[in-house]
Amino acid sequence: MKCIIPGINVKVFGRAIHSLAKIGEELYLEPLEHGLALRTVNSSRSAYACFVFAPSFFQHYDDGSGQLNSQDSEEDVLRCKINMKSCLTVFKSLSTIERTVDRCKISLNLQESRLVFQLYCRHGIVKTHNLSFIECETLQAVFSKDLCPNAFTAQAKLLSDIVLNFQNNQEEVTLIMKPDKVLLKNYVEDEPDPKKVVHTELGLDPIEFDHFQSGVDTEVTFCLKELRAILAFAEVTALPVSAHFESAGKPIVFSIDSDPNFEGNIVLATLAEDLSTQDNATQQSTQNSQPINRSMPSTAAKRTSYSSKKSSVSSTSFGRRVSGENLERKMASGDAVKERQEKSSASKLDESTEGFRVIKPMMGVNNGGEGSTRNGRVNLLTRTEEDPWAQPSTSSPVIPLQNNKHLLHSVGADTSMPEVTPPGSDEDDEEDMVPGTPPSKKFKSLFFGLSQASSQASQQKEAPVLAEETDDEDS
Amino acid sequence: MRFRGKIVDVGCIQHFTRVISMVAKLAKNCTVRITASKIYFILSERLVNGGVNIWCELSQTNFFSEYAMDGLSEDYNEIFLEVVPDNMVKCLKTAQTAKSVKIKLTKKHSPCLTFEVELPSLTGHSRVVTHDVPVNVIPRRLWDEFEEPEMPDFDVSIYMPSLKVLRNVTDKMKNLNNYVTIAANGSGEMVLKVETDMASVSTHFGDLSNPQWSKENMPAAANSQPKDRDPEKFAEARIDIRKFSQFLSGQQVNPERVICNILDNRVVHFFLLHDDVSLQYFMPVISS
Repeated sequence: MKCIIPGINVKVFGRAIHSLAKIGEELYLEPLEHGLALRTVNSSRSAYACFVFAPSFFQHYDDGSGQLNSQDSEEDVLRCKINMKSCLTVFKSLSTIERTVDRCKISLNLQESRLVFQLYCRHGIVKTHNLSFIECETLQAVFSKDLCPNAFTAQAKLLSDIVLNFQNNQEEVTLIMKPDKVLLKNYVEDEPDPKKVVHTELGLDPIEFDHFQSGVDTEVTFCLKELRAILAFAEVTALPVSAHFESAGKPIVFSIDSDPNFEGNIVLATLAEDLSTQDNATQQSTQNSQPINRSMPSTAAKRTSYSSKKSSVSSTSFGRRVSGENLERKMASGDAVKERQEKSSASKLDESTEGFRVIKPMMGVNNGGEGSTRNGRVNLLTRTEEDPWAQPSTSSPVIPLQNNKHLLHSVGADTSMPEVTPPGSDEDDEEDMVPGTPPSKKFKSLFFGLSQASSQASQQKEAPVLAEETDDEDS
Repeated sequence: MRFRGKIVDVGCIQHFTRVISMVAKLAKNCTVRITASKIYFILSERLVNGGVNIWCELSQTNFFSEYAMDGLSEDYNEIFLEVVPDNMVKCLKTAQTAKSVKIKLTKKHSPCLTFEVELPSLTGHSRVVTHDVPVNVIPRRLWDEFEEPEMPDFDVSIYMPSLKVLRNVTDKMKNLNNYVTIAANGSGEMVLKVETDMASVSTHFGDLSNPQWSKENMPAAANSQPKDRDPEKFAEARIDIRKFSQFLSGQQVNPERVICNILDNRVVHFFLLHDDVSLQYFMPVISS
């Protein structure tokens, strides 16, 4: 893997890292065909942020998949995480970087297992940082922006001004969406006396937004701190920020996607009524330990199974295939952090990202030639909503256990796969039958309640286990 | 009880914010006394908590363009509220560029001082931010506790040197001891002294002026003339250095003059006057 960032973009890259640093402790790096993805998730798994830098952002971009042959690609494509603090030291002083760095080269040193960041500065100075990394599975959030009935886009400055009105130590804020206005209130918890706390409220007119779409009257409560991180990035780059959300319990997505060279998304969990976040955090933490090597042995098997699955599915409607993929992803990701095994070869990547797109538009959205897929995506979405889910019996076996094998163990959910050793800590996950089902319903509702309206129904039909969860979640 | 005031001038908003920040730095909780003509910030701490006494009064006409209040009753046309000034400061901080600020006494989940800040927005629209600061209404029977403290019959009265210099000196002295002795005389000399087992450090300020108090200038006490005393004689008092430092660092109002009155070994009194805002700060003396 090797990429070179030209001088003007190094600052943007650095700022993205600063923003991610405010959210999580580890930076997940993954060079994909359509760009370099930097992702992070916070410790309680209630916030996920991802920046994808398209090849056009770089002076030279090589994701390392070219020289790999498909059999080995699983092992060699870099999917790793690095310590956020070490990465931050590379890009510590943005003003200095702006003034002195001509270009930045990121490459992989296989012999010493280091990720090398080289800053080529003026006067012939080269600063080399050798960071150690841990191989891991893809950190992926499954969410759909297009399915959200409520959305608005605003200039970063507007949102920053609004956020300034709340105190610095204000943790959570409630956004109330009405057809004719948007209200923001600070969220006051019941524990310390609510009567002693200052309540702040402010209202916004739809006119102030660049784009305003109010589908469902709703109130969502999310953490302000993480929003500030992405606003800091947006304000400096002066790009508009859009928000997509549905209702309490479903995640809210803030994205910066107007620049063709990169895209940033931050998915925040929202407070669901009557649910506490404690359960989620603990349940999620059990998901975290995903031994890396587990995936390796089954790589080959997995791949073939995937292709077989795909061939079988492809005979059905496109929507169904996609739905199948969606389904497996959805199932695997009831869990907030869906660490799913990426299908590695380039071609597979395309297809997987395609299916991906349905759920995770941010992947591969901004690269060239995606206009059609964008529309296609919308259609896919509607199709997935109604149709594919109606064929649970056929599609679920199609998402054969094999397929989900890697998903399974990546999520660590299922115990039925022979070669997969789930973390064992996921006994909470009922599922014997349906692999990769979301372990924590509550968590799912909170965050990757990616179970958007569409998936809700589907999952209910899909497997009894899933249905149970969703029921619980709904109660 | 009703209270409603509106400030429309940005300069007034900023000045008001500065005054309240100053009070906020000195006290965690304080009492706000609202009368028809003035607003007072009062703190009278018990000795166990340091025993400082703060009395800050400002003339409402200097700040508010609209002002209306109805006190407890006809006879007692005043409102006493207990509030955390820091909360007020945080609300006002967002109002530094506001078009207007309205302050109202309201009852939401509990009695509150509601700050309605009207901010200019990018589209020319106005955005209204509402902050509800919870307050406690102080009942009539406790009002006597908040009388204006009497200006004592001090021995020496002197204008203090530059607060910035004093702040630096005090900050360094903080490391040596918890108590500083402040001494001044009638000839424009002031000394700050701190002692430890091994050393004694004192800073001398000279060429200061001594204010001449006339009967009209005195805020309260009957006996206003300082006794006849040898101008060279120092009056000194030992005070808590942290409180003193807090007082010095809280000064954002940049008053032209800060007067320090010392009653030998009894009390130290600081008096600031700036643009119709007056602040009095009494510090008890800690005997050695």
